[in-house]
Amino acid sequence: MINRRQFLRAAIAAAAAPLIVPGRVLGLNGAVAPSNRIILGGIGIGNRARHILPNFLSFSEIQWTAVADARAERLASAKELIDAHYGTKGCRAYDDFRELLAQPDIDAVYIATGNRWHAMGSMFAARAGKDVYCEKPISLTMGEGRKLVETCRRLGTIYQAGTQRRSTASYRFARDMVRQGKIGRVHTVESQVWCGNTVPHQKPEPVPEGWNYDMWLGPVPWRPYVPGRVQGHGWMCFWDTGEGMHTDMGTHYTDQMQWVLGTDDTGPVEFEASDIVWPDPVKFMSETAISGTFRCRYANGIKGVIYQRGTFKERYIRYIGDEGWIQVDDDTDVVTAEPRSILSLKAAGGVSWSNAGGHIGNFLSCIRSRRQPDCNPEVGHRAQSIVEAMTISARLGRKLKWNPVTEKFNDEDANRMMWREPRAPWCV
Amino acid sequence: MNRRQFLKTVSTVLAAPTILPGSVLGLNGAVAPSNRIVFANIGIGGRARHVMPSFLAQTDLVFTAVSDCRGDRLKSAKEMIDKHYGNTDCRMYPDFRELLAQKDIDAVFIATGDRWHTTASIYAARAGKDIYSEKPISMCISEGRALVEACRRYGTIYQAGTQRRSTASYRFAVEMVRQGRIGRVHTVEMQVWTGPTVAHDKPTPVPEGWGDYDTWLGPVQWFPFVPKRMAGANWNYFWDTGEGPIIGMGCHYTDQMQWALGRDHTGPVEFEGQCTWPDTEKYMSETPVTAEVRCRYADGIVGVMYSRNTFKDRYIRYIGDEGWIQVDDETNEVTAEPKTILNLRGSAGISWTNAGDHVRNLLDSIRSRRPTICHPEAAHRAQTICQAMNIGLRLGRKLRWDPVKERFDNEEANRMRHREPRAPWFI
Repeated sequence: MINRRQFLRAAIAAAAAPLIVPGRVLGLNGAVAPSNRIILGGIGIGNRARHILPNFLSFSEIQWTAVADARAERLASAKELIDAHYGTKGCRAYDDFRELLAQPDIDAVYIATGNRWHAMGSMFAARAGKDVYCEKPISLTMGEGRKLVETCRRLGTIYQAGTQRRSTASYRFARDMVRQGKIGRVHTVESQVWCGNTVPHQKPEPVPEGWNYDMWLGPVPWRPYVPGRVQGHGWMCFWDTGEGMHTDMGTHYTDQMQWVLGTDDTGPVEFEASDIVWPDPVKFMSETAISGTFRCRYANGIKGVIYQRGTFKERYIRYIGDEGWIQVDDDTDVVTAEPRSILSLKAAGGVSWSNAGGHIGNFLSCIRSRRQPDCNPEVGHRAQSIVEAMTISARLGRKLKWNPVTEKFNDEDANRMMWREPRAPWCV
Repeated sequence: MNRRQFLKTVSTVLAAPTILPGSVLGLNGAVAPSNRIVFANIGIGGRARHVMPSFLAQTDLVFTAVSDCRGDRLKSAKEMIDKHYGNTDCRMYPDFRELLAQKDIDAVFIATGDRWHTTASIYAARAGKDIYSEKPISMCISEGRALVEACRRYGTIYQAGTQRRSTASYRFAVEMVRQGRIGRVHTVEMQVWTGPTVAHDKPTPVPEGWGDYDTWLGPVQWFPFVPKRMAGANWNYFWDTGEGPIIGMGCHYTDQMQWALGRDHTGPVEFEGQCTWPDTEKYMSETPVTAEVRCRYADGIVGVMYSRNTFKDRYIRYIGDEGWIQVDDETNEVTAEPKTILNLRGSAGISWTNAGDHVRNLLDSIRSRRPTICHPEAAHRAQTICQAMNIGLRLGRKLRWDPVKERFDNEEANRMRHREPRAPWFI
């Protein structure tokens, strides 16, 4: 606390000091003036956020000023990480993300919570007037996704879904080749994600010190704290909190398929799941599929297939046309094609999907221009709807017809599965 | 028939001597049809079949319709009712909303699974029907409160199926307590049986002809059809669809305790307990196996709920500073200390297995428009105690409860007062 005298003395000293300010404050020498930086906050700073954070921090036009997490140790280490980058102690830490959203200086948020929080967190942010970069999958249900689209439209939110492969050189090349007709007319888009995990039965335990478990759960039904269900990526294997591999990784591929086929504002008309291998409930408590084949068909006859099989390294997407095919292997970022001559058109390297820089750059430029980002809410929602419809078809064990205009199935059971009521007080 | 045939028939009828059976006019102790309360049933499984005779024995009501989402049950229910009345008039509705839309129906008897009790009751109240609903009356505290408000708003006469309030043995015990025969009560002991467990099982397609599974699920989260989960009363042991014996049976006892202590409009202020859970490696069921949960009223009276031993060992015992009195549910026997209390007991009366007097109480209330003996507020308050006990066990902590605001001292517990229904079943 300084008193009035001390204040005046300081003010006089400051006024008397020579007016030399560092060039970076004025935005000289390629630096961005602080007044022109986009102020960012992060919500949910786990593994994914830590992976992508360097991509964000490499942009000099942003200033990361706040983090929120329901886990105390993650919150503390996230603050340290950001403070270390800026060499200050200025990063604010909030155990409740609503407090972060209430800060008027924050322009945009990066959301990397667990899947259960993605759409809800995004909508709260949009209502608080923030722009949003949100990790995929962008929603847990189609109903939630549609509400997200409406919310962003109503509030003029710039929203980027974290399906960053749209900003990746290899995938862009494949898209261009397909669109230019180098493989003829496309009839099938094949993709492969790895086998889902299983989690053996386990007993509940007390919630670890420092966890706000109730906040962690957020909109999903209350369940006791069972480590295997919560820790690591365990939550991916339970319907309440995740939907398994074909949704989690699959949404990248359906996003690519929609983009390449130019169907970003619509979707397939038919879904079917087959050969699903479910975890043996006698041994495992996890609920999502281990392996299976998920198919969809567009009105013009083009087919999409997601195989959930093999290992993590074997994931790929392949566009098959009547004159050839082109494939991107995700693990190696290598593009293969038939006829091979297509590959001679590929320019050198570019960054792979593991660097989200291009995607973030697209988001930041849209924040300034107020134009729609590559993966705007409608795009994200439509790509996500495909994998969610596949999930519903698998769970109900039947083929479903879908109307992409009314966004309804031909089946009432399935229609009801397009929405789950959030747990109070988390309503949309 | 054409106009001519019609006129011929009419003239025949007019020409016939006007002799009506006395029963139609309400003579000879019979109730005239125009004065009978028209009843319908929603959900007709094991429990409904057990209670139906208590309803049908009343001469001033008539059952005219049944509803069930399972086709086989619906048909056999119609057969049972038609057989009783010796006609084929009973109407069948696979969708209970159609039943509620029938204007001639005055009241409904709801005996669905627990998950449906409140939602169906509120829909019935909105449709202007009076209600007898099986216990437990709700799946969560907020649902119970919504039920109370709906019945108040629509002037619904509602009887909760905690029929031990109309049972001689229990009435006797409550009277003895209220007359101070055991001195000042300090403890009410309640014992229900050990919670069953259900082994893990795989989902299967819904069996052919089983019925409408989506309607069966109703307001709870969708889950696949798992035979062992659906068998018998096993749904009792999963949080989505039931809450175990502490609620299934316990709500009868908390209802008695509240009644004996005169707390129908309020409740305890503290809940604390321990329990054992099913071994998750062996069982998929979720509700406690054994439990001991205490609740404490503001004036210090303690209620203890035990979940232990066998089904036959269930009892309630009021303990005062000058003695105790106990009702054994299985035998309907009353014991007491001092034994002299028992001399005051009149004839045995009917046991809890006969819900006749409880149904009678509802019918009288339907005519008088006065509250039933288990009116919504009383039932909701009794049910709240069991639900608070379960929330305390699930969270593994002691909870304080404000019975005026109906709030816990803990936000996580407060959120568990409510569960979101699955669309389109909003209340």
